[in-house]
Amino acid sequence: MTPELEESAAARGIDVVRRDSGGGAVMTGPWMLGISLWLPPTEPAAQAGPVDTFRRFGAACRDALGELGIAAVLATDADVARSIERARLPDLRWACFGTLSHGELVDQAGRKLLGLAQCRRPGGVLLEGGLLLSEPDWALLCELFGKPAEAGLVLRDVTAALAHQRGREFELEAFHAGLRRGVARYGLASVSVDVPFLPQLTERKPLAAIQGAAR
Amino acid sequence: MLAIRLADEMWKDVEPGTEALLDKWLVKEGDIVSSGQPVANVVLVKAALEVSAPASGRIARILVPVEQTFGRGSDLALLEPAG
Repeated sequence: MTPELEESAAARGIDVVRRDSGGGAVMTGPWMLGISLWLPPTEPAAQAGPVDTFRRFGAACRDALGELGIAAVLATDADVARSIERARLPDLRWACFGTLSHGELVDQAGRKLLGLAQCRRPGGVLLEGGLLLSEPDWALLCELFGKPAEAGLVLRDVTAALAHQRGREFELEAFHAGLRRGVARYGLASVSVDVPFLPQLTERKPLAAIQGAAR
Repeated sequence: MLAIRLADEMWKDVEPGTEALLDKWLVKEGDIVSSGQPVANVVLVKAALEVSAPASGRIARILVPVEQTFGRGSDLALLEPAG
């Protein structure tokens, strides 16, 4: 996190935090559903590699969306490779939604719906997901990071928000229930699932979560 | 000397050629560490991971500096085992 970024964000009334998990920059707010899942270290899934854990978590989210009639698919290895190649010009690798990774979800046109990150410590594994409910202000995110406006247009093209597909409000409680079933189905049982809508962020102040270590 | 590496199981299913990033060293050269003690934070495929000391001893040399990337099987530091 650079002083320039902090200054630029503060001037716009935006809070900036550097999260511990991996991944690129995310602008959180009412347009994004945050999903957190904690795995105690004794869970078999916590002892598997991070890619396996990401895939289980993504599959649970996919199934929960499927129960709501929302079609989403896990990004394939080929999708991941293509997205990384595409994200070189303009450079989108600094943004979470600029590339695809293991376990992340795309719509039927291959546009990213769900971004994932995880943090592994001796006390367990924290999985985090960000599901786009509506379109974020990509132009603002690019402006904050000093990126060209073109990058914002491409971010818009390579992502999808549920509002565009559905035209009606997201059924949060049904999704939460479906996610509980999903985590059990994929061996993430006996964990707590929290699907907060982050009401503390609904003061219409976006919060950019920054992870400078994105690669 | 023992090599300190990111555990091999963390690389499972990661595409060949993918590199991890050394985010932070939690120790410095000359520090005494215990077996299993976290010594570094790294980032691999959007996951923040810890690297632990394979044995008790002294950190003899750090080989990968902060902000540098490294591949599977890379030695991140050398440990002089105790005793």
